Amino acid sequence: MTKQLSIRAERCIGCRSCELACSLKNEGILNPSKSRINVITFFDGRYNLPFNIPFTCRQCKDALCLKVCSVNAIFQDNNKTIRVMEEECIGCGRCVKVCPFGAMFFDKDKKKAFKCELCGGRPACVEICPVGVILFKEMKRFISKETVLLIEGYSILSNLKRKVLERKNG
Amino acid sequence: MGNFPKGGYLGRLLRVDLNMGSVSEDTLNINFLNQYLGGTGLGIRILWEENIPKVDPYSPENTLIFLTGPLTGTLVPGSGTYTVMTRNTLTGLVVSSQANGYFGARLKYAGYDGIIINGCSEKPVYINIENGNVKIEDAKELVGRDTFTTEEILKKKYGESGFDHHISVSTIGPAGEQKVRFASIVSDRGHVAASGGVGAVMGSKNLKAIVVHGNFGVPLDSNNIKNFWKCIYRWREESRSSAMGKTVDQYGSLGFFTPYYSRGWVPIKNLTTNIFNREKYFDGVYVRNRLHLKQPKSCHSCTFHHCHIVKVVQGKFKGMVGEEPEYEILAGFGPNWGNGEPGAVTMLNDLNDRLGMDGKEVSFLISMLMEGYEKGFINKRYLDGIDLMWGNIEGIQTLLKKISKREGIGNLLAEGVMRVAQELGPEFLKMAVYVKRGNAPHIHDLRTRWGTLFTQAISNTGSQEGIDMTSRAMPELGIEKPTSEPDEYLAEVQTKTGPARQFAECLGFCYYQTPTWRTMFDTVNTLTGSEIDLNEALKIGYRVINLLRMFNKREGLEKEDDSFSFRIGEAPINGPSYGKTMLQSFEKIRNIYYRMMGWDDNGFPTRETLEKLDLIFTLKE
Repeated sequence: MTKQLSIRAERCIGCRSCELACSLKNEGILNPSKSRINVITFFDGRYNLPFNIPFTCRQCKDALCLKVCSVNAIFQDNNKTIRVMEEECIGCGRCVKVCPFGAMFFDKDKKKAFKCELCGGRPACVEICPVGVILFKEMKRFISKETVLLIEGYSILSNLKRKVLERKNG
Repeated sequence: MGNFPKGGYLGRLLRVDLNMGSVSEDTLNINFLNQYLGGTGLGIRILWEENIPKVDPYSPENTLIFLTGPLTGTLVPGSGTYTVMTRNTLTGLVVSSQANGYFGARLKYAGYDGIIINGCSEKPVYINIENGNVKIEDAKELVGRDTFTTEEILKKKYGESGFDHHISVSTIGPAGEQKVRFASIVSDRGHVAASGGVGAVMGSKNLKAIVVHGNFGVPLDSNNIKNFWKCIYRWREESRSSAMGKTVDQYGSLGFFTPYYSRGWVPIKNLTTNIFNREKYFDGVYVRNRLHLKQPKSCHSCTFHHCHIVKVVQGKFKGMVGEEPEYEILAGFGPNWGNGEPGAVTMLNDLNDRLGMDGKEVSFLISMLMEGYEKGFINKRYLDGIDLMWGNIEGIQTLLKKISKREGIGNLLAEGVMRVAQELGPEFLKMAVYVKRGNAPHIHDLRTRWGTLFTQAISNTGSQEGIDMTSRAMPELGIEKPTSEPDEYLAEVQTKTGPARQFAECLGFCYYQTPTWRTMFDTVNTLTGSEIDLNEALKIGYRVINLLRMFNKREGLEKEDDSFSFRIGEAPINGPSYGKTMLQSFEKIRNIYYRMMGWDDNGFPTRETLEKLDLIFTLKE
């Protein structure tokens, strides 16, 4: 058991406050493309109505990003948080492509990958969320075996052909 | 204010000349920012410079401005707002129309604080703004498409299909293309800049849509981040705990229906009665929890359970998917049309948003025709075979489509309430509901809601200029008791709330998210480095109102225009506010208001007033 982000997407109202709070806390700017969390509203699909899902790092036990990194810039710290060593990262973008949740991001200016590192224990997204979608609590560690990923909903992003590495704002 | 602005602005304005198909970049004038901040204020200042006096709203010389404010795109709740300013096609005066959603924030992320559009394109085009790069593209494939389809096509083209994610589109529907006088601009699936025919102006320029996406951030003072966090948390807390905030958080603006009904403020059958027998089916709790299956789809940084996409699960219109209607649409498309089926409102609201028309004008236009039809002033043949009885949903549906295409009778109806009434004769002029030279008011029974009526009648932009205080007080602004009677006190309240509201309109956030004034000032100050207190804020708001007034004077506003139509002056014949009217006292209140504002007897700022506000340049022309 470790303290992790638990996301109850069914409650999400899609306001994207978490994105701005994340970028302000981690980068000191108001710029959602620098945030480590990503809220998407799905319109098409098999459901009656659109729905919102915040995507961010699940701190997987068998993290794919950690496996594919060829320069060992991604590591797991003592709190079982997956982190990126900025000075080691060569910006190849493999981890960004491999993450099934779209939770590994690419900074175009620095040419480095970046991800959620839980704000050192006080996640900004948890504090700002107006409806209590994101919680920070003790949870079993997530296993991202491919079978699990095929579960509906999670596979949506991995099936998406991303045109560019970098995401846009908002 | 040496280092103003430290944050909040990108400092760049986009200028588009559609005659030449060229684009250029302007820097924001710091002096303008100091005096007007953004939004409506900055908009009217730019419009003043930009425009030749007395230009026809439909002509290429008329300027169309999209503007954000300093708070737009920040963590302030409801900060996706943008302001559209141009000449009002219904009145020829100035119009300032706001829409929420994401467009405003994403316009900033795309690299610009605002867009100034001049000229007229030869063929239909749309503008694509990505990271400060602007392209004017051919819109052949979008012509005739409804607003939602246009948005979908453009989102698919520039982004990942099927998502609401990092792209916003602001577009006009078929009504805008046909220059229907009350066409609106729709963005983010159902967030509408409705007032004053802004869509018709966009249509007259042959501009179908604007797409914004990008990676720019909103700058802020890096030494002040800690204070900014504090202000944000305070704001988010306060806006949720105000009386208005609590209702909107719980039931959206639908929550206002029952309280308003009990006071006789819901418009019923074109204001001919105040009794409606199906009011419990329009109650916020019922609509929210029983009528609809809902999924939230909030605006930028909003903290409320307000905007939803819904599916009707009760009644005749089961299965219909659309936006959850706001209170005004619920009242205007429901009781005002004699329609007792709330599911029909969801359907008609969706249709109206897709066609891109102003719900206010549509509501009072069709209710007027319905009353005229019932009384026998017009017949079925005149209406192209539509049996326009109260609550005939199919008839209304057909009529809306006809108006948006200017087809048959629709061509006349596309001219708006007042012009249609003038065409159809004196009986209709008695039934028509409009204020101010032919602007449909907000959809309330304004006759006994004098706060709203007065602020609409003397307003410069056609919408509410001050804050309605008919049933509440605001000690922060020195308003200790509500304006429960239509007396001189209204003038005093308007003088106090007008500047305050106009100041808030300059900042770029959603009105429902209003916090205490102190929090508002603190947030603006920490973000931009300005030094605004209540006095300074009211001065800015006061300046904005005076400049709006001078602009309208230049466009030919007269004292008689500060008034309302015959029907609004009549007293209710039944219901909770039986027999009350503002007609007798209105002129007196208006004259007192002029005096309190420092204006002359004709309702225009005196030289001293203008000098005090650095507006003396308005006299030179």
